[in-house]
Amino acid sequence: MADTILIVEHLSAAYGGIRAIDDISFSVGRGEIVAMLGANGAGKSTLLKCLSGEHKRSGGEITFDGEALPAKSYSIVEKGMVVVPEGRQIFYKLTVYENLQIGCCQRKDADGIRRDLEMVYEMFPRLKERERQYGGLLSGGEQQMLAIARGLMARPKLLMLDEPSLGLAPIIVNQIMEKLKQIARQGTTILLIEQNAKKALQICDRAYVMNVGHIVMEGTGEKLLADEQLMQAYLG
Amino acid sequence: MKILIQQMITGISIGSVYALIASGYALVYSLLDFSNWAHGEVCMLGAYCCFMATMVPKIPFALSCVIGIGGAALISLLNEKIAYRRIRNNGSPNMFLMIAAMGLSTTYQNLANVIWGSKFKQLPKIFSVMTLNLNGIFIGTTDMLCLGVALVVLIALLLIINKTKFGLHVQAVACSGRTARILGVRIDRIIALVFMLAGALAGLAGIMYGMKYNVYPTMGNVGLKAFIASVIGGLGSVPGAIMGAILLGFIETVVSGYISSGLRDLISFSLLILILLVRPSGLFGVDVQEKA
Ligand SMILES: Nc1ncnc2c1ncn2[C@@H]1O[C@H](COP(=O)(O)OP(=O)(O)OP(=O)(O)O)[C@@H](O)[C@H]1O
Ligand SMILES: [Mg+2]
Repeated sequence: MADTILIVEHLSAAYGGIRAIDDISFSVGRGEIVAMLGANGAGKSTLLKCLSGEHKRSGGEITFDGEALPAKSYSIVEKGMVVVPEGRQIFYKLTVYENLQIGCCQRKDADGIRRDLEMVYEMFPRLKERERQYGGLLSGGEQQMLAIARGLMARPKLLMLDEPSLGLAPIIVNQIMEKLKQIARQGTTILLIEQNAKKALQICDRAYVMNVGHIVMEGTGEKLLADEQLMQAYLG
Repeated sequence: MKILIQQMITGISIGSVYALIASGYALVYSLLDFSNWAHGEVCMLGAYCCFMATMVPKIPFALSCVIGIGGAALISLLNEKIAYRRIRNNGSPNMFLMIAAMGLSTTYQNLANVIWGSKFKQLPKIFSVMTLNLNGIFIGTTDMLCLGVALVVLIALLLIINKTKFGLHVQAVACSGRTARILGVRIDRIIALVFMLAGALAGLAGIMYGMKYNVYPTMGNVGLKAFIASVIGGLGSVPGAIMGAILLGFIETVVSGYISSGLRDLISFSLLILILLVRPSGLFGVDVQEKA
């Protein structure tokens, strides 16, 4: 891979004495959509917490955009790596607009921020309609859109999403997946963490499969989608 | 009637001093979900800083006030940097923060006793001897001054919280510190600034309290009033704390004036218990619920 934006090597992480991730290595190429699949408890969210600076890894190296990943979350965001956390985590007492403002809290370029605000409103017109509404009053699907839009407001090079399909109706999941493809086309690399393997495999370029803290398989979306055994063994 | 108006103004004036303390207390509570019991002592230490500065010849009173406010802000910041932040980073339960705050509170009280003794100290009453006579309504100028300054400061505070980027970050951290952090908000910096802001407000309140009454080691107990005010207005809500504080000041003055000043604290604390029992979210609480 000529241009790799994220390289993770021998990453391990634990909670107290309990290993959640054990020596995993993978990479994400610039412009790709890479899916990380796995059942409950596989360690997917833990992986994202290591990548977003929320959880301290116990070993391994992470290289982002040619440099070692900084430790503090705000430096990671500043470098262009942004997470859309599990369960959306909307600021429920802030309005839609204010939630988006937090997304770009590190940026100083007022013009760019205004353009990006227009861009996310165009991508998610529902958010524009509800601009002044409290985040907590949005539906689950709208909250997921807001969480993604909030992430985009940071103008990330790499957007990492933790189970954006969680708890959403299939039709909404399809919409979200389409938006992710659109975001990737516009030049943002995507690391998509999912349990909904089918949907993720349909839109991704490559995927990895995690099982209890290890990566057990990797391949292109089509290849894994065709692999009946894999589906049965790890993803149900 | 004239007496009632007079007492209303006195009550709102002392209420506005409570409001300065209560708003800082509420800010910290909203961010960290713990009761900062050392907040009243920050107020007391601010008053002593101001008092010390007035003892130095050639320092004008206005500068002494700035020193008192700055001292309180600094002490509040140190509490956070030295004690609270470490406890948070240890992953200890919030209860530990409250216990640490109680420890700090007692420590500061004793320290003040050792350094300055338990005797009352006087801040210069710039024009306390004067009373304005407005059509038969008598109002102390110190009361008026405190009320005016407090109102300006509180309005500025509300503007900061609701209209600035810093204020938005404070609200985000209050809503979810974890999410704010991973989205790039520098939450340790926000928290430190909030402690300084809360400390400065408490310092100002301490000076006003000292001008109205005296400066003494246990004057930090006025922090309890701020706590009651916060509960009245809904814990963690700054506008609620301000309203609660003014209401409390008013009730106290009316009780002292019409019933008995001996019953003042009894009534205040009964009110606290009543609200905790009947309306724990506060009198003015309108809360947007988190969606699961
Ligand atoms: N805060 C925590 N403290 C202790 N153990 C944890 C913590 N968070 C996760 N774990 C453990 O780490 C392992 C991996 O959890 P993780 O949340 O990363 O899984 P996941 O793949 O995201 O699962 P899901 O699909 O259900 O979200 C699990 O065994 C879990 O019990
Ligand atoms: Mg998870």
